[in-house]
Amino acid sequence: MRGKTLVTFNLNGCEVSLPVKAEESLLNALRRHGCTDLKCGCEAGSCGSCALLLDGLAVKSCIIPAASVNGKQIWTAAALCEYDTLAKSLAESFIDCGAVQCGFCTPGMIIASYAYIKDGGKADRQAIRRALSGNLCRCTGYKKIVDAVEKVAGSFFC
Amino acid sequence: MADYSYIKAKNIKQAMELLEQPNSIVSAGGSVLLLMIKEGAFPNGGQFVDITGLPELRGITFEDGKLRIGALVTVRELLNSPLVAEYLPALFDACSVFADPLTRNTATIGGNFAVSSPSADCVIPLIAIGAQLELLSKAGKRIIACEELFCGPGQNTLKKGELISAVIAPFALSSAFCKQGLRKAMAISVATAAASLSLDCEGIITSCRLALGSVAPVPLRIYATEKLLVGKNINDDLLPVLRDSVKQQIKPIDDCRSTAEYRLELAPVLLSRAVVLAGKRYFN
Repeated sequence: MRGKTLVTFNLNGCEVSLPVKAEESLLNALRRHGCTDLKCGCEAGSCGSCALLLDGLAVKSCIIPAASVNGKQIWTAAALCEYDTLAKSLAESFIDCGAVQCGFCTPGMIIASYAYIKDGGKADRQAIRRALSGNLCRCTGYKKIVDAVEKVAGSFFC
Repeated sequence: MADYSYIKAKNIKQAMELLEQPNSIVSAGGSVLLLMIKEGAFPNGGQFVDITGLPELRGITFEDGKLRIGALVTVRELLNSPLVAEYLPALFDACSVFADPLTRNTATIGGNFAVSSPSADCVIPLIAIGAQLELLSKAGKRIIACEELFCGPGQNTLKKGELISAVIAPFALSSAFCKQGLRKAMAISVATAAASLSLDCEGIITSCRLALGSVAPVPLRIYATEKLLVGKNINDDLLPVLRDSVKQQIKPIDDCRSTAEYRLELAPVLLSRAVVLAGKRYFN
């Protein structure tokens, strides 16, 4: 295992140990491990489709070195939507509002909007747009995504 | 192929020793390191020295009447700090338009300096504020003015083994920062401007510090324009006063975001806006 570092972290509630290269991105390491709900878009920190929660904060996994997450807690969108009421409400709201077209940006959008509401974000369309400003969607024109987040932010109390 | 390895420094002493090694590369927030590697910044490989486990580099505290901001403080932490919002409004302005909320969660103030880009958003207000950098190495500590760090695009005066450990900023209640980008988020600036002023009770500028971003090979402090503004009234139209002076001191380029010609016109406008906003804050 020359040139590789073993990182141990909590992924979606389970302890995981992965050998990673020093220059490998967290996105790449997790997709190798099977987390294909993390989407590989720009790989340059610009599009947000690889977003996940790292110790509770929404981050872009394509620019974070996998070697640096030792001992941390990671949640990805699919598992979060299964176990967490807020994330589940967001996923349902995205479906109800027609906020999903091709779906490529959706996991990242869910993560960014989850972090926004957890931070105390309100049902304010301008503020939601700012919160999602690092996540690109090439299909919907954002209106329905903002609708979906607004609906949950207006009814959910953290 | 270039070979990389990774080590997390356990304490400051070990970090200093690791950074002395010829192939060491500092790893902190991790928002630019992998991108730099992809762009071929370290063709011979190297050892990442992860400094995120060092508590000395964290936190925003009062120290000798100034704010000490640890190098690992993220842009999110700056935005959430009541101290920054109150005492360093220009830095707060910059943090609120910095990249996007996700990037702000990882990007650190030390990293924004270390990358040494002429467009770094947090750097420009801190130059205007008159902040200093604390640099640590095995040999000890040294303090430099923020603007002394830069010597070219992506180039700085850090010596081998030296680490940016903190930013030390004096209070600058009447300071402001203005940015022009191609969109509101994830925008590397077309140009930026920051001003920090002292005024008398009638609104006459008694002293000021001004800085511009993305208009020269380095983040630029514009000394000649600072002298020009002293004695002027903040309520007058200052754009005609500073326009020619600003144009003479900057050396913008054409790139994918804008042209040199446009930046020459834009920089004085942004600067006059920053001066006006800083002035308003003085009387609030």
